[in-house]
Amino acid sequence: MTEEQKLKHFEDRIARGEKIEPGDWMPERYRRQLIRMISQHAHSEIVGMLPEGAWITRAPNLRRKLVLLAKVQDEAGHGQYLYHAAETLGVTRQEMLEALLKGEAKYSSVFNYPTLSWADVGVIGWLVDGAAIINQTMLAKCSYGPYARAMVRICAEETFHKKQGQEMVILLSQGTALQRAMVQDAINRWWWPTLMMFGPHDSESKNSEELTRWGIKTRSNDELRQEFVDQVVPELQALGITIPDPDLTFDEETGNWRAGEIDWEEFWRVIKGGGPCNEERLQARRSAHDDGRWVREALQAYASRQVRQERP
Amino acid sequence: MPIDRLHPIICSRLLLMADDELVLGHRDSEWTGHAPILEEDIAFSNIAQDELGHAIAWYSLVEELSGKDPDRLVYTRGGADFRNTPLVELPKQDWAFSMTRQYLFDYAESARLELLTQSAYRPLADLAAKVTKEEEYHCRHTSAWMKRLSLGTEESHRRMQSALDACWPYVPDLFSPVPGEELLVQERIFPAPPAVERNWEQRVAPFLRAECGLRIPESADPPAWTREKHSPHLEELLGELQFVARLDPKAKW
Amino acid sequence: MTDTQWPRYEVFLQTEEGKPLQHAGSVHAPDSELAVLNARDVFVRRPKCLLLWVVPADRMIHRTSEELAQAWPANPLSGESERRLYHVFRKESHRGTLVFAASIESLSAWDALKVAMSRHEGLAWAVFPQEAVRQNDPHDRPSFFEPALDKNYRLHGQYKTIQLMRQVEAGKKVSSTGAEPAKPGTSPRQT
Repeated sequence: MTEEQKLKHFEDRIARGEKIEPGDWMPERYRRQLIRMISQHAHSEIVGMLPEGAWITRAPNLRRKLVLLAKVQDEAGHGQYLYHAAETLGVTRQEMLEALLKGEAKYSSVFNYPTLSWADVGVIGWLVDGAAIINQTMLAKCSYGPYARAMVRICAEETFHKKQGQEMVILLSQGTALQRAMVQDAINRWWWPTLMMFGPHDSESKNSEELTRWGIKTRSNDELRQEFVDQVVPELQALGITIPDPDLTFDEETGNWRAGEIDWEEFWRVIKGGGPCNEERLQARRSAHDDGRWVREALQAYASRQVRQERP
Repeated sequence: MPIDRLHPIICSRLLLMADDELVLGHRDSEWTGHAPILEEDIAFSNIAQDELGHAIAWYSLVEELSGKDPDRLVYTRGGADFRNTPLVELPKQDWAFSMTRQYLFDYAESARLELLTQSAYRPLADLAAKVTKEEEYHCRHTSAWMKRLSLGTEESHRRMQSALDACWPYVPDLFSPVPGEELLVQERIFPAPPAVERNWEQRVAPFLRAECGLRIPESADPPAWTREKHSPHLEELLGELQFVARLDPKAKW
Repeated sequence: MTDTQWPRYEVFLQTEEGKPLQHAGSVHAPDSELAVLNARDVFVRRPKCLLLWVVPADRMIHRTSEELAQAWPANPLSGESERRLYHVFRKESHRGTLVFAASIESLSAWDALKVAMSRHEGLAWAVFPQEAVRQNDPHDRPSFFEPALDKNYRLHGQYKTIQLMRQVEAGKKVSSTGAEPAKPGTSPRQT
């Protein structure tokens, strides 16, 4: 088969709803796009452990402590599933981690913002993980088998993240004056970064057409963002929480909530590394990595000796 | 003696176990996001959850017997009123220290729980039987790591020996008799500390020497700190642990 | 082995009585004993699991049906003289994962695969020898798998957000979740 024929066959398979598995022929661009997307997704989960992980030691009751610990552990697990999916495409964990620690790999900008209060934990759970679920539900249907399967596993666990966060925000919003103020302040700081998670407007998005044809991205950024806004705005308002968007209006005709314009300057600045916590997040990962080097070396040395002993 | 007369003593004894697990679980959770490798980050977070779960179990039994709410016990007591063993309040330091501390504590817990499953006080025996499953897994995990770190490289061996040297002065307190416990031992509700220690020593000493190649430290002077008189580390730990709760003690979180 | 690049082990789980083993993902570990422990911690955080296998990734042959249609190894039996037990897994449907198909005694993995393919349809295949498998000790089942059953705080059903929102909307006072922290062994088992 010629390259052109192979490509046609590949695209037909996807159009028929078949999954591409490791070893199947795929265009080099498909492989590279997926490696980029999946590894970024994996890095996001790992870096995402840090903003909330910082509050485990300060969780205000035993149940919250246990729940937050479990949630952050899940993020590590999700990173693990995603690194595995990327590895099936021929990239190694070593390569992916090196890129992250050198500051060359991207991850979701939302984690470059600081968590300043306990309420941030609930808000991140409800909004950030809620937004992630919408995106991941789409990706669970994607054409690449290992990525789709990782997404199915992740979606099931992510619902717990969203609900525990929403439960917390509901209680805070109906609680003492201090709690109500704390949660309103957290919403004020996390609302826009959450909307930014869905990426640039469709008109600014490169690659979209190809990603759609190849079954990777089947819904647009704006579509996903709209779904999120329609879902959370009524609920936040029902709790007496103000959404920090003076331009937010309800469109009677379509039944959609129209959000104001995102600050795109901030969006690009943070993506390019200028967020409040970019350096801190990477430094934490680098320290964990460096501090752990002697541990990894010790286990490697032990294992190598075992193997040598076992060989006749 | 009728069992309800013993409830207050059982409560005090349980509080020690609960405080141990809470403080250790808290220290363990400090590694989440910072462990040497991803898979172990997940594994150690599991151990932390297990310890917190055990704390909750023991505090809940205290609540059944005394009416004291677990969250109030954890979030409103001052350091002077905590009854954990000093080993668990020490900072996490490096991976060698945390793993060694976990290993020593898990085997002590396991030894105690094994005997507690025979307790004449049924609720305690039942809970011990459940908790022991998780501790068994901890023992598997920590012993696998102890061996590998102790035998791995010169550096890892050095760190592990230092860790063992640092932990060892705190070991006797894991098996020290506690006020009121003699009565519980008599009534066969709690095991005698020497029996627990023997059980522990039989498993731990040969393993550390023969399998890990570590030197068991000579008995040193006991540390200045006890279950009743804590190090500054506990105050610092509680400062963080209770921080949000203390912002508004009447609030529900 | 290089720093951060511990060997990979493929992980297989049996999640219900009577259900076959299926592929779940992989873990990195320095050796097979830690691989089993790591696999349990990574993949068995929620119910249910009865059996866990890890297989070094380099001992497993994985091919899609498409790949096999293009190329079958020229001399699959070269060098082999011993009959061994091989396990063959297949992906049956597009939405599914690799599921246990058959255990076949054979002179080579490729031979075993051929036999399995003559009996079953599949979109993708994996084969590895029994000797490459490391599994949880059956005696360890309680300590390996039961703890996950008690950690129901990890399940989204524990969080009654719909109920709470209704209470708020009805103007009722919302002051507690009503949910208790999980104690080992005292929560209802999930099946």
